[in-house]
Amino acid sequence: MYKLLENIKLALQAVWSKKVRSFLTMLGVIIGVFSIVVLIGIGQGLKNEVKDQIESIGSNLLFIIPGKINGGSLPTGLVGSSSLTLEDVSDIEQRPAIDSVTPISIVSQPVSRDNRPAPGALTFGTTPNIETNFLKGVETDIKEGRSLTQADMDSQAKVAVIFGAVKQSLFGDEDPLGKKFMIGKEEFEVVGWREARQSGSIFSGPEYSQAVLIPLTAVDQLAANIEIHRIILNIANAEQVASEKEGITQLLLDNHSGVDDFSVLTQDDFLELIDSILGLITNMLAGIAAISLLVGGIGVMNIMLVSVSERVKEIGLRKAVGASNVDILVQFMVEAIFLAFLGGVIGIALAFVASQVLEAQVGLAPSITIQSIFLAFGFTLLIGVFFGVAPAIRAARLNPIDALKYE
Amino acid sequence: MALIEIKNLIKTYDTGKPNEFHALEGINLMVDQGDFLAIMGVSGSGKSTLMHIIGCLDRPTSGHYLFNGQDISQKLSRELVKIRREKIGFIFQNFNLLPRRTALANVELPLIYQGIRPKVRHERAKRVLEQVGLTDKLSHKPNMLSGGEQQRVAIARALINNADLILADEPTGNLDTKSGLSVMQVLGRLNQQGKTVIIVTHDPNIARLTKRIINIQDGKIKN
Repeated sequence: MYKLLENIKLALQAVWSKKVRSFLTMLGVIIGVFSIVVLIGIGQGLKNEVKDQIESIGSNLLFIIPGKINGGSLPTGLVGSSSLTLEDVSDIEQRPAIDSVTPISIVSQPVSRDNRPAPGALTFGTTPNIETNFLKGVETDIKEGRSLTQADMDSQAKVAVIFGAVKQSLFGDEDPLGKKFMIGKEEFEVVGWREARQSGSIFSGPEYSQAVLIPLTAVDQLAANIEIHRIILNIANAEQVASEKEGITQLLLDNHSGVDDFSVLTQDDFLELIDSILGLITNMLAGIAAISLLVGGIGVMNIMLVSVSERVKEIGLRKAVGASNVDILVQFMVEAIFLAFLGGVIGIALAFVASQVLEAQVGLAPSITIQSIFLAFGFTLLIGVFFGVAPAIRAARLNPIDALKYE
Repeated sequence: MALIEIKNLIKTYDTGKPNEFHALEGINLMVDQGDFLAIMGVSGSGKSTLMHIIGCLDRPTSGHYLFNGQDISQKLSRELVKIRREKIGFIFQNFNLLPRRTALANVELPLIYQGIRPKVRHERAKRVLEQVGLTDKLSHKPNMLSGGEQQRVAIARALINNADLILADEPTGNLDTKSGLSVMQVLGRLNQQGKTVIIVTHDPNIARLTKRIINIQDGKIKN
C-alpha cells in the first residue's frame, strides 16, 4: 500500500520533472480522447435533434412508402417508379379510423421562370390537407396568399404554393402572388408562398424550403400517369396507430396481389431508422478517432522506453537495495498509466470547452454523456496498461549488476 | 558462527561459448560476524564478481556460498531480493544517490520496499543520518553535498535496514584522501558497533585500515 503511494508520487515527480516531454507525449492521447468524446457527442447531438423533429410531427401519423425496409436498412424504392397507386389511396380513405389521407406524388420536372431555374425545387402533387396534417411543423409565421383548395383539386387547376428557397430562386424579392412560372412544359400560377423553418439540421430544413405544392390532379398534365410516392395518414386516435398499421399492411397486400413492395412506417419506425443510420455514422467516426488514440498510446510507449533507458542506473540501485522485479514493474506501469490518464483528463476537459463553443457558434450541441467519458477513460487506461507493460517489463528484467555498471 | 562461508566457488561467464571467461576459480573464504575485511586486487582480478556474489546480486556457477547458514546458490532470485532488502547494505564507488531526492529521501529508499510507513521511515532515516554526522543536511539534494557527504548519505542508506553485512565497493575511489579517511572512520566505527564490513579496494592505504586483507589475483585468493 505504502509502496503504491510511493509509486504514484514517483510517477508525478517523473512527469513533472520533464514537463515539455510529458506534455508532448500526452498530446497524442489528448487529441485521441478529445476527438472520441467530441465525435460521439456530435453524433448523439444530431440524433437528439432529428428525433426532436420527428417527434414534433406528431405520434398519430403513419407513413407509407414504396419499397421494403428491412431491419433498419434503407428502402430501395425511395426514388424511381413507385408501387403505390391512387386506388390504394382511395381504399385507405374508406377506413373509419383514418382522420385524413395525404398522398404525395413527386414530379421530376424542372421548375423555372423566364429561363431562371430553381435548381433544387421539388414538386409535390398532393391534396390541400398536407399543410395542416404534415407541414405545420415546418412552416413559419411568414406566409402569404392561400393554400390549395378542394376546388383546385376538382378543376385540376394549375396553381401552386411555393416555399422560401424556390420563391427566392424564381422571384427574388418580388411579390410572387398571382405570377406564373413553369413546371416542365406547363405554366402554373403562384397562389401562396411559405417560409420553411430554418432548423439548422442537415436532414429536414432545406428540403421543405425547396418544396412546390400543386394539386394532385394537376400532375396528370405533367406526367403520363399519376404515381404515388408517399402516403401520409393521420389517425384520429393515437392508440390505434399500431392496429391501423396492421390493417393497412393487409389491405395493401391484397391490392398488390400479395407482393410486399411497400412499407408502412410509424413514427417509432422512423426513429429507429434514423437511430441506426446515425448510430452507424457515430461509430465510424469514433472508430477513426480511436486510431488517433492508438497512435497516442504508441507515443506513450516510446517515451516510456526512453525513460527506462535513461534510468537504468536508478533501476539497478533500487534493485540492489531490495526492490523486486514486481516493484520496478509497478513503478513504470504507474508512470505510463498516469501519463495516459492525465492526457485523458485534459482531452475530456477540452471536449467540454469545444462543445460549448460548438453550441454557441453552430447551434448544434454535442451531448457529452457519462458513457462517452467512461469509454474514453477506459480506453486511456487500457492504452496506459497495454503500451506501458513492454517498457515496464524491460525495466523489471534489468540485471542489477549491469544496471549499476551502466554509464 | 561464520556469517559468510564460501567453498570452492567458481564463476564463469558465457559458459560453453568461445569467449568463455573464468572470473572466479575456486574461492574459499570464511568471514565471521564482526569482521572488517578488505578484498584487494587489480581491476579484472575478479574482486567485483566476488563482491556481487557475496552481496546476493549474482549467483555462483558452482561451489557453495552460505550466508547466515543459508545456501545462496540454491535460492530463487525472489529470495535473493529479500536477503538484499533485509540483511545487506550496499555502498558504491560513485555513491549512486537519486539526484532529485533529498538526503533523507535517499536514505529512506530501502525501507519503501519493506512497505514501512512514511512516518516511521522519516524517523529511522533521521536517526541513521545522525549516526553519520549529517543531521544538518537532511533536506539537501546530492548536488548540494560534497563527495564525502554524499558517500556518508550512502552509508546511512546502507545502515537503515539494520543489515548484518555492509558491502562497500571502492567506497573511497571517488574521494580525496581526507574525505576517504573520514568515510573509513565511519565504517570503522560501525564495525566497532558490531557490523560486519567488507570493502573492495585497490588502494593499500585504505586496506590497511581494516582488520584483515585478502588479495585476489586471476580469480584466486593469494596470500
